[in-house]
Amino acid sequence: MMRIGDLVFWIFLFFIVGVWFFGLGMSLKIVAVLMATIFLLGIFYFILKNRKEVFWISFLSAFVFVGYFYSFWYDRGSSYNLEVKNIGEQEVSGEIISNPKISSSAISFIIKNAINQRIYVVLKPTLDFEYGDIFVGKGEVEKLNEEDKFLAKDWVVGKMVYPKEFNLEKNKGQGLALMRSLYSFEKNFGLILSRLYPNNEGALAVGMLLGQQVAGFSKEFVANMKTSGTTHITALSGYNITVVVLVVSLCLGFFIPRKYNFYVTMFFVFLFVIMTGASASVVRAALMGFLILLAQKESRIYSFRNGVVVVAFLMVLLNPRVLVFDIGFILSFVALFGIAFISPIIESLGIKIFESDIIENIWKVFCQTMGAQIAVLPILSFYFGQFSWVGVVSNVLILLFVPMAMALAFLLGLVGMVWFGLAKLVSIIFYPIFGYMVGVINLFGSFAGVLFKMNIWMVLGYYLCLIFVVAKYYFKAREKMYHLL
Amino acid sequence: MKLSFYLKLSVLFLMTVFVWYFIVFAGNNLKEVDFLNVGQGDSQLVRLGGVNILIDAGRDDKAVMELGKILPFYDKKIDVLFITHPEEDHAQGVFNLLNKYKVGLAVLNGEKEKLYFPLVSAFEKNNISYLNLARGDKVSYASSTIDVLWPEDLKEETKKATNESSLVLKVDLGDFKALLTGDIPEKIENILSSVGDLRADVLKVAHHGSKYSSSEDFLKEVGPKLSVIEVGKNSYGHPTKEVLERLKDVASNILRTDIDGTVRVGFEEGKLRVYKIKN
Repeated sequence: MMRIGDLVFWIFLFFIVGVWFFGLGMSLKIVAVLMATIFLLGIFYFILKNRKEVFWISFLSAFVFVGYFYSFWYDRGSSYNLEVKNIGEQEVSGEIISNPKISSSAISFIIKNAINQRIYVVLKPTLDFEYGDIFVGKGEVEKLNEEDKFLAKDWVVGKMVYPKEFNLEKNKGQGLALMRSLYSFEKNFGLILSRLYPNNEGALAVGMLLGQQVAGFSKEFVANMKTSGTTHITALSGYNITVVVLVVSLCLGFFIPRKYNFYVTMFFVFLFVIMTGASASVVRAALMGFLILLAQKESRIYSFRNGVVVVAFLMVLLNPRVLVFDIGFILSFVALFGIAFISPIIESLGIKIFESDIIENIWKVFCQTMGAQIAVLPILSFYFGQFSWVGVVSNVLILLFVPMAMALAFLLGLVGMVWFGLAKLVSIIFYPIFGYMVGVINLFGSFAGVLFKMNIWMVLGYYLCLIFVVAKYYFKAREKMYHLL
Repeated sequence: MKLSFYLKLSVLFLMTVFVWYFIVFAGNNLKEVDFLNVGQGDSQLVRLGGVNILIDAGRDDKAVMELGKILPFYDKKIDVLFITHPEEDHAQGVFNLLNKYKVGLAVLNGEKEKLYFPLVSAFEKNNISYLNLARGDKVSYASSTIDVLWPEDLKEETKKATNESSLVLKVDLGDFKALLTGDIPEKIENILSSVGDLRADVLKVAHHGSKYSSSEDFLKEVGPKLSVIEVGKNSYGHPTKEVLERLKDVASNILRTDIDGTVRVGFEEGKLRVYKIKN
């Protein structure tokens, strides 16, 4: 029999695979054939090599069907899953339920109308729309198309782009006061940072700390980040959670008894997560951070593999749609796997030429970047039809500075909230770091990206090969897995 | 002990020099006008020493982007913001501007149309004073002045259609003069010709080079050495052939933001200097 940890790992993993199959639109027949094949292969392997765990794993693969049916039930049982009632020109009013996103020439948010349908609205940024306000608009309501797929995870059914007339009623909605104050804190914090530096540098500082949603990047810069393969530094992730955890536990360490430190830190992490819109990558990082700290607190050994799967399982359980429609979720996990499993392989290929900490660090960043890039490449190609070939170089040049830049941005923002003049003065000294990062992004952004769109079978084939290579490596060098498992 | 004291002292000294350098020397003798490349829209920046005066802000974040390239990174203040008229291609960018720059004072043309109310509410929210100016009003800094030539007055009965009530500004920087005409049509140009001295070295061609503006008489009256057309991709045919012809007839040099990028005009060594700032 398997250990309990392994049992849970495989059950959760197969459940997630089942949800994924459903999200991809695979029919039950195909799933059944696929699973039967895998099951038979597993049994065959078991008979041939007498490996017991393979037998158990093949048996547990039946949980793919549990995931599949859960997703099916969730989609059917959801009251949101309605087609938009009226398409065409009409008057729409509803409460703003998301933190409005401001881009170079538009503001966008999601409203919930009287019959609980969610509609995505895009406007010229004239009025000051905020979470909890009531939006009233007259214009065309359209169905979502392929490009709006990312909205599906938020259960949006239609969109209204540049309505003819619109107005807003301030603070009339039911929105939570806590959310309102968090969003307004976030906005002010972002405003202070973006006023300290030129547009791109300021936006980068905001983006690294609070995410791309509030950064206000120009179209050109967004394109440059994409081409240079550095967009992910503005995705909220483990870095952000680490900064929050460190700052909070440092600041509060003086006032609060040690035994409460964990709970207070977690409370602030929770506030940070909802303030930044609880995007998949930040929820993932926060939950994993929580598990790591919990393991520390309870003096248990943290298992990376189990941690990741538990976190993914919880997120998929809450909203199965994130697995296919939320690219942030997918990239966040896949990149993590790349860093955890592929990077060590690349690292082991390296020959030590110099005994130097700096070179070792650069080599490490290079391996991590390569690992992540190899892992996410088919996804980028599948969803965006484009991936960056200069990403490895640009990331090595930038990633070393990201933790420092984030900590500085956090510091500058805090100082700026108390005394803007002082923050301005201090910001001059730190300008070169942000200037350098923007410079690298713009330089590598000028290279053309590789245009290539993989289809779903190519993606599956790629990953099967990748899993095969990785598995082979780790079976050969089992002792190397101890730090991971 | 002693060494660390001197080290700290010298770091402090260097930082003090660094900061005062910016305060004392940062472009205090500067006098220039930048015609920003904001696509199909208008935006001009007048720099007087450390004072920044922005006339219009384009239709999106392009003005903010151009400002970021022109102004030093620590300078995030627009001291006076003129909105020639509250139309999208001149004023929509204000909402982007307010997210990145601190604005001291906003000046409007008094017309309560289109974007007026959203603008005013944004100014109020950001604690920015705003006022309406009309002919005869003047903004001055040191020896430089900005005269408001139009609209005639702010009375309700003389309210004109949007473009007709555009603010028209004459910027006199001592060494050279620039005339910034918003979107005024020929009809207003004719009135202006009869009321005062319009002569200027540099002309911001009205209404992106529309054929209904920039009449021959008006251009002769102004006699610009350089005419700048702020224009981008559009379906109106701006700048029109007619206007380009008329400008050639008065022997004016022509620069276009869609071709030449942002145009900077300054005065150095007794001469008018023009720079094209391309992306």
